[in-house]
Amino acid sequence: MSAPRFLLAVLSLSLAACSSRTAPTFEPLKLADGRVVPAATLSRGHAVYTHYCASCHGERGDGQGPAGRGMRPVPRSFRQGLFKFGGVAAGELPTDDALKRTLRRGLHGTPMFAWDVPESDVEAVVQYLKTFSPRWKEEAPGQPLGVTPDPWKGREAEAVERGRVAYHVSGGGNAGCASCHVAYLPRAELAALMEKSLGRKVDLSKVDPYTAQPRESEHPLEVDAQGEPTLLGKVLPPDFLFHRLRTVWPEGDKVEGTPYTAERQREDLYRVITAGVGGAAMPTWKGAIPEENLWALAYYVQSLARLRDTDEARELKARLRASTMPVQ
Amino acid sequence: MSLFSSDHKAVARRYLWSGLGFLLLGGVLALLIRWQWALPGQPVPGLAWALPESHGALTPPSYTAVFTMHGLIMIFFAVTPLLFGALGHFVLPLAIGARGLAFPRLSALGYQVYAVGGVLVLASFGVRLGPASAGWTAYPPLSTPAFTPGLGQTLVTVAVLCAAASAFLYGLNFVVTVVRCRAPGMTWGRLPLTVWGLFFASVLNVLFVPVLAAATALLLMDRLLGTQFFIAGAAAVGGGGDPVVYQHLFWLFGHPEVYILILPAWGMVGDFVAFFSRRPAHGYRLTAGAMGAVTALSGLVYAHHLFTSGMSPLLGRAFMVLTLIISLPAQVMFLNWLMTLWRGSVRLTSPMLAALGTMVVFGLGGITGLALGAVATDVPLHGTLWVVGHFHLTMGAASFLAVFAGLYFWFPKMYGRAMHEGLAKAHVLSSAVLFLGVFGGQLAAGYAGQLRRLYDPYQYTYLKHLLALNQWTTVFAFLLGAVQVLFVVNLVWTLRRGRAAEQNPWEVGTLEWTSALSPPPEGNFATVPVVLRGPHALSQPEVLERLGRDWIGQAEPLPEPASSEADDALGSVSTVGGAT
Repeated sequence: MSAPRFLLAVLSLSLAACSSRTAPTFEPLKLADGRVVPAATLSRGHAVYTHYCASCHGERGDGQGPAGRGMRPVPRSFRQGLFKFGGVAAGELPTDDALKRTLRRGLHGTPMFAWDVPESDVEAVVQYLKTFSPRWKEEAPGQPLGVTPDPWKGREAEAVERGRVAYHVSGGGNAGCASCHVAYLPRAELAALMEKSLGRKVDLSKVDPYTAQPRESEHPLEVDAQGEPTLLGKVLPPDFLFHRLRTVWPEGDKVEGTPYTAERQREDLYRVITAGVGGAAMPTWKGAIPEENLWALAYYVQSLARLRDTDEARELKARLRASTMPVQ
Repeated sequence: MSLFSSDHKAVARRYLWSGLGFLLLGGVLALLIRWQWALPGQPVPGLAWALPESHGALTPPSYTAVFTMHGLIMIFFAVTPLLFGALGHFVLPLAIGARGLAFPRLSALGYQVYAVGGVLVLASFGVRLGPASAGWTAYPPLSTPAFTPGLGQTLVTVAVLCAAASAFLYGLNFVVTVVRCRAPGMTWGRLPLTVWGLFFASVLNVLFVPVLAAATALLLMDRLLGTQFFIAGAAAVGGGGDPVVYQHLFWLFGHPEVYILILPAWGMVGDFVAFFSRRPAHGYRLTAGAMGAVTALSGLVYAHHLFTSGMSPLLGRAFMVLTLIISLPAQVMFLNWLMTLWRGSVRLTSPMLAALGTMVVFGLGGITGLALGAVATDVPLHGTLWVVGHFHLTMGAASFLAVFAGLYFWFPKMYGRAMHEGLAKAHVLSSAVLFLGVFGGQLAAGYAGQLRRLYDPYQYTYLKHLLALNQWTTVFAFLLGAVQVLFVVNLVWTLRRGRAAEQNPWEVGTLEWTSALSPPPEGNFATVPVVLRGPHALSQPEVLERLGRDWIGQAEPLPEPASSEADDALGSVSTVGGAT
């Protein structure tokens, strides 16, 4: 082969490479709340998404990226517009702030890291996520559920006591969390607490309050060629003595560059308890029970989360299991 | 000489300028990596035009692109072309008394292919989603479109293919030239050690570069045509592809590449140590034989790169033994160099300082490599900066110093002008010392557990205390960058104002200095020299006695004992005088 021919071959090979993958072009995106995202932002967002997100969340935003296979919890599919921590009533479209918070902080204990990227890139990729689901063009995001002032400030022990009741008892302004999450009182104490709160005896002999049952989730494990879910997963309500909470870090860590105090941790718990978890069985509690009970629950759950992985937690678990034994 | 001349010296100059350009680019990229490790996420002054979103700070994608391109440019576009393209092309035919390379047009074509590759590398910086960012080794699945979807990765892969094609072409050319085009009397036993080094390295080029080309071509097909040679999991679903296959192919080239880079350096060190100790190279045959042994073993040790890749532990043991065995010939060479220096009349010229520097950094690199050749110590060290420090000492610092040893040595021959010795010595010495600072720092950080390639190591609590060490290493790296100005100043000044070089400034006997003009014309020699002796005929008593100097040209007849003055005169006319 002569020199020019060889060079021609090399050049045409590189040209073939150039034409193999063209950059997508974007139209401005009209959102249902009246905002218009310019094409340039979407284009930038696409580049950012490709670099940081696509390997897990998939090129098509369906949560089926090559690195995401087998991850539990599964990487979010953006095609349903369904987010776990949206800062709004569970199931509604999330606020931009909530999405940015997740990007900035990551989700504790999952491969969703705290992405330390330029502010403009965060903004661009949040807007780009909205191209995956048609919901953004049809619905406005939900009303952000703000954080109300903490009514228990300075009365922590009292709040934990109140939270314990709100957690284990159903009805009468209590949430009854223990019906999905596990209970943290030995059988006799649990029965006594219920009797005291409800004013009647409760038969606990037929129930197992210490084993969490997996619940249906709306998040897909597999999707078809169109990105529609073909297999939905199940999720286990977290056991606070054992599981890491996704939106809560250990006290003393640095989150978003500032120390993570007990107060911030409570605030984050409050946020999840009030809003619920999109796509999971955890409902929105805001408005369903009195505000002071929501905060009391945050205090109580925090007291449990502090025990995670300690000997005290292991002893408590042993006591709980032991109290179940005679029933069998 | 025109831009399209296929004379080996013209091709060498083209490689020299391109190689130096890429060395500068690769060096700047290295400093960006060091900046990120000293001041993670801080904007780099003057980089805001390239990274407007982050006001000039490296973001994780730009950081991965930077370290990928640094490695790739240095290996394929800077050091290899400088050693072979520039020095090899220039010296090899002259040193064996040939009028040129065996296939002059092939060597011109080789440069053009390399240049196309270089253009593609530069173009990759301008495309959407940035240049390649899968690491210089381009391991799948990182280098598949799923993880590195940008066009840049494809362009760079084609560029590596070009560099490989060019390396194959000059490798072939060198082998044929040494085998077929030696001057009369230039027996194998009379070749300068530099030629031996270049010859063995070229054999490796011919054998193993095609493996790289094959791996790269298959990778391109995976990227562009949807084949699944290296797609993860393809084997599990019956497709037959596996990313580890790529690792085998890559390192079957990649490990010999280490020797491709270091063999010419070893050759030069062997020659320079003899030249500047004014003694014949001790154990010449053993040194050449040791180089041959390394060449023979080099392909058999590659799998130590895969100790942590899920290779069979039984294979690991075999490759560990072979890997450790390859250090023996290297030790033979080292001992020979030391024996040559022993009681020599050492002259610390700039090429000699660079050669000694090469010995020191390569020696340290070799010792730190033993820990990586043994499975038990490789497993904890493999993913850390220890590996980075080790191979930068052997492939980076040693090859770099060898390139400059060669450049300072042959520059008067290439351009007919002498470089400033003082500046050259300062450049070589400070570079060697700073190399030890930079790569010593990397070894220490690696031993402390710092993983390679981390964007921000201090996100890990156990690495937080390494910030100060990394900042010191960065200071050394920036100083190392700064002292390269000495070379640039020297080069520019010499080319513009430098004094004309003497015919044989180093007073050595090899053919390029004793039988050719400075710079040599096309065709190299007025008459093809007839070689009479080896390359290191230094401080021979009879030469001292009959010629009054301690060196004699390889093709210079030694006059008979002075029976009459007329004989003396005859002897000197037909030798050095012939070329002046």
